Amino acid sequence: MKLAALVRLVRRDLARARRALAGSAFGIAAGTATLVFFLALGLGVRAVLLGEVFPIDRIELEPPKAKDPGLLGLLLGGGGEPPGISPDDVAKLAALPGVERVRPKLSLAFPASARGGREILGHDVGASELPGDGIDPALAANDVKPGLFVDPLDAPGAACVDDAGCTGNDYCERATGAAEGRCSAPVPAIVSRYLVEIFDKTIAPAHGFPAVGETLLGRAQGITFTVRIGESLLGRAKQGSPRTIKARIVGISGSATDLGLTFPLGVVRRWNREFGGDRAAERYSSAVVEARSGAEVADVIDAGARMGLSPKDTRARDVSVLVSGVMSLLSLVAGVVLVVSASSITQTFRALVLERRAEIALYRAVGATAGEIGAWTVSLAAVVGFFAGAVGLVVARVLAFLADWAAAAKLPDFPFKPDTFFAFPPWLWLLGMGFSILFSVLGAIGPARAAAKVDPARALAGS
Amino acid sequence: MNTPAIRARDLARVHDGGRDARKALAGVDLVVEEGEFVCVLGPSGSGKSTLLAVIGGLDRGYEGKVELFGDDLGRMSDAVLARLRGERIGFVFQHFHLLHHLTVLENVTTPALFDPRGDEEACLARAKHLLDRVGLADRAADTPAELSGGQRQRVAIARALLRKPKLLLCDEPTGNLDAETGARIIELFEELHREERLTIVAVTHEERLARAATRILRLHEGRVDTTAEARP
Repeated sequence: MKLAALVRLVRRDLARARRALAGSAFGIAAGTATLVFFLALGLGVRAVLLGEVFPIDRIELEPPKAKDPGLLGLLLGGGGEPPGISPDDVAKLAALPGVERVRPKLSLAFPASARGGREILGHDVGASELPGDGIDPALAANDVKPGLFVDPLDAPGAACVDDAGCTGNDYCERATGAAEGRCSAPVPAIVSRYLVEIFDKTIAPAHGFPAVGETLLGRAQGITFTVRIGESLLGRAKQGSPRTIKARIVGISGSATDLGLTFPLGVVRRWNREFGGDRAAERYSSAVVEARSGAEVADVIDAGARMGLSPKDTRARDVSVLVSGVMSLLSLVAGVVLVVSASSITQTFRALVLERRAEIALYRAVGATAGEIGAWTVSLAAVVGFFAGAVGLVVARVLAFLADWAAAAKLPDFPFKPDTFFAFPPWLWLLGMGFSILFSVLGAIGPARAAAKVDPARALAGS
Repeated sequence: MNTPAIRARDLARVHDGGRDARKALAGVDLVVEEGEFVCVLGPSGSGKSTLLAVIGGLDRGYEGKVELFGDDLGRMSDAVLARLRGERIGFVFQHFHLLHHLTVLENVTTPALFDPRGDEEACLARAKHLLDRVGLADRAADTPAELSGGQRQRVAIARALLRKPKLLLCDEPTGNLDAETGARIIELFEELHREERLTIVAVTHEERLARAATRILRLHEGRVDTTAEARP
């Protein structure tokens, strides 16, 4: 049978049995809509959670914590120093298969506090304890305008002994014990999107502050803080003299530490040497390893464990498992709907075959093979599945649109609230359509076999 | 010596009805030469329709041997047998078996759906020619429901002739028609036999159709009554 003839047969069937076929297609459309809606929801939520909140394709490895010295140890001279990660370890991590890049971090090894933000927020806000990291400026190159996130002393200003000797917004960067310092522009700092989200969605509404995300991105000069280094509310550094420096937020970056400020690595290294000693300046506090895909993170964790490093945070993995589990469960529900729908297709096609025994027998008499009769039935089911799938996909998209609209209108703002909770990648459309056709065809296979087995002599004699 | 159109040897067919298994054919031997118009007569239940289904390749549950134009039906696959039916055999049924959702023209072209080498334009032209031949050229766009019984049977005959078969198998072709209409159908068969040199095998219990045949076979309880074979 030529394809054109098959198309003609199927078209005639669609015209004359549209009610029965529409009835059975309804279930397939509902199943497809359910499947695609839930998968799109899972993918959308996963993209937000694992792309922005808990990135799944990266893991932060850190060395073991310093040992508890016990009471005697404290009396004899304090706790042991944390082991840190050596530059050699960083090189080894970077050489692991599946690793895209490694971002070593040098945490502030001394107490610090900060205060500022008047120019944006109306009055100063502060942190009595300021955590912070230092990273290679190249890692934030894509997020910050060129030249902003660099060590200011790469281009030192005039010699000075205090801030009064510097002009404009500069301050005097004078290390402990040094006879004189150098005038320096405020130290650039970047913050994480996570911190900005927390501020904009939780802190700002509570205190009546404006949201700062877009403002920060739009202002080249950023927000300026005064930072007290070597001293905070809880205590002061073991060495060095606490002093006040200026810092300026120059951008938002995925490379920044979640909570706190992130400075250029050279600055933190210099400060750590001043307030914590050489070891605190040379050994990294952690390393963020970016894998080529989420699937390779497990291998990175294993390799890190062999080097004595452990994941700082396994929430990404936990969330990934949770989201995958929920997606699987919801997809299972949709699968059940599709299976039930397939049985509806079976019933409809069984009835059609029974009703058309004489017609099938006539086709056999005029030259149709059993295979052609089966192909005709299955093709009709595939076309029904195609149309049901198209309807299901449209319904899923419309439901997603309505859900997004309802979420935007009814749900309060919360950190990382996305514009859409759904993701509809091209493969999802194809998958939905594929399942729709597949289950329709599966449902029609039994009736197609029955149609192919119709005894033409008996069916023609029976009229 | 020419190969006969049909050669059947020791043909038997039992219809399986559980305890009520019934012998529809019981050792039928039959030879039909090309160009013959054979009428198979017999009372209801004598096996006429079963014989037609077996030699037409519609019923494969027989014992014995059937050859059509020299080819053994029993050795053919389903696909080969289907092709043979499509290319060499035309069927005409008592109940017409027209498709009521199609027009007359579409009914006539139905066999072309399963012709892998068919040309659509040529098929349409032939269908129109055949409708003209059976006197229904002006009813091509009508549906079977709009036709009389005789007209329906003429549509069925046109359909049977679409792919230029060499053998026409007719099962009670006048059984559902009144005497006058039946007579016109019989005339049509006579014309086809005379002008197209078609081999025709018609089973009937009507003597008037038998009178048009070149040979008459009588079936009785699944056997050919050789004593009754006759040429009108």
